[in-house]
Amino acid sequence: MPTIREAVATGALWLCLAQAAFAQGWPADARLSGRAFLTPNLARLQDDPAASPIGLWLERGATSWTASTQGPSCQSCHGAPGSLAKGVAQFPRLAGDGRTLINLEDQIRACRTRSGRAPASGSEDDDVLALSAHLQMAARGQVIDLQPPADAALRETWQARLSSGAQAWTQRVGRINLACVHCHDQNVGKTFRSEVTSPAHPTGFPVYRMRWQALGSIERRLRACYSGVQADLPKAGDPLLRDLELFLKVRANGLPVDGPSIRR
Amino acid sequence: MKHPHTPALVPASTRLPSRSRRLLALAAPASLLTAALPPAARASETRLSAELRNRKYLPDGISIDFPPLADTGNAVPITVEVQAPAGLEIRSIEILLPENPFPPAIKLNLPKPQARYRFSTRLRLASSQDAWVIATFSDGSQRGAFAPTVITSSACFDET
Amino acid sequence: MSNDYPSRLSFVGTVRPGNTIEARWIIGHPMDSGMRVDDGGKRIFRNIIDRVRVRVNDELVLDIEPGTGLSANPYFAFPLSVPAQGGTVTIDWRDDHGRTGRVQQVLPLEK
Repeated sequence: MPTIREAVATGALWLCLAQAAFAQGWPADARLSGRAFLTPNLARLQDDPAASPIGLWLERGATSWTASTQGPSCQSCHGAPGSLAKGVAQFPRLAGDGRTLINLEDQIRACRTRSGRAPASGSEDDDVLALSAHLQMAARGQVIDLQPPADAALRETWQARLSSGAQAWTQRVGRINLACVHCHDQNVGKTFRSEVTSPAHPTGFPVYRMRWQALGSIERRLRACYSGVQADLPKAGDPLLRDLELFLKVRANGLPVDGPSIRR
Repeated sequence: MKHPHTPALVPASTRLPSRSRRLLALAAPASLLTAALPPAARASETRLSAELRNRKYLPDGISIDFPPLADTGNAVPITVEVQAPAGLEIRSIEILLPENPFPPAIKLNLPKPQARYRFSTRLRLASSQDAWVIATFSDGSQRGAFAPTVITSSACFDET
Repeated sequence: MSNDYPSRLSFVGTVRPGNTIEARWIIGHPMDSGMRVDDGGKRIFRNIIDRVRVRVNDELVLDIEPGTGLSANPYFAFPLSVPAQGGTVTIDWRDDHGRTGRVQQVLPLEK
């Protein structure tokens, strides 16, 4: 149980972070993409289109984008994936109901269902990941730009979700009893066993994590962090994960999208 | 089911006893690997490793590109280049991973034997070990070489 | 033949008759070693590609026996000799669950 002093300090900290998220004054090494923390071998793997396993999902995504056997093709409504680049770099956003925060994979799943396809099994469905990879690849270089909605009521909801994400960022969890901030803000560049801690900017999703030997969504990666500190994993689709993703994206505002990337 | 290409090299005694295999199956996924012991202290090295070294294969003509420090045991890139001795040609090239539960990792058979061959793949290593490359030539003779690697530890456990 | 798993085949080098080029092939196969356990504690059975045959114009040029020591989404890079009249590269694979697949690509001859 935190003492009153700890609770006030934590509250003040996350309020500061939520505000500072809009400021530009982060130290230089905190604005690096995870790409900068890859070993030369893994960077080389990512850059080799013939050898990189990401290519398997990219090809699948390109085929899915134009496939019209199970309903209108994505292309028929959206045109080329590059035309959606700006929008892709603005997820997560509030859905039509003004309450639910949805990310890119949620949007893809909703679109697929709406266009008559059988519902995907979840964010880790290979078809969803392939489409996400295809879109993120086309959005490479697009600057991450999350802004509050113009409408006052929506903005209030959005701000509340951002604050919730900032709170999660500084909340100690798990048997290891650490918060995200302890590694990814306070110990960037330090070695954790054989891995170098990055500032955790979400520029390279969906990510081929060598540990998974598969492509995975940002949701999976966030759940993996909870696993890392030996905490109970939030369920897939948990709003807390969307709040945290919103906070991470706002914190990364101004960084360009890397496209789907290799990570350890 | 017996592994389809367990070579004569692997005596039955190097297969893990069933209790160890059950423990391995219950243990953390293959991605959670322990840091390697320095070579001098590798007391748990298998008999196959020692046997391969005792055969005193000539390594001439075999070059192995293998990272000495692997980012992950799940996919370690390896490039092998074999140059057959004068007058001979390569019939097959095999990679053995003595510390893996099933040491034969890959075998390439060349229907038309070649004087020179170069190939790449990605290996999955259960632990830090030497990757052995054995080339068999048109007259049945063999040459062999190895390259060591150390598997580095993951920072955090990932159960997703 | 079932082609459950996606794959990509590409060639590196000048594709001219008589040249040796490098073929690069990756296939999205899980290559489960049989040593892992799923979330429920049940063993994930071994499921690996155990045979790959490469043909150029129906002539077998490479016969691979993969084992569990290869990574998931396995990658193979190997040399190919371009025949005088060019032709097609055919890769047939089989896994130990009985699934099979075939990948074919015409060699893009350069003038």
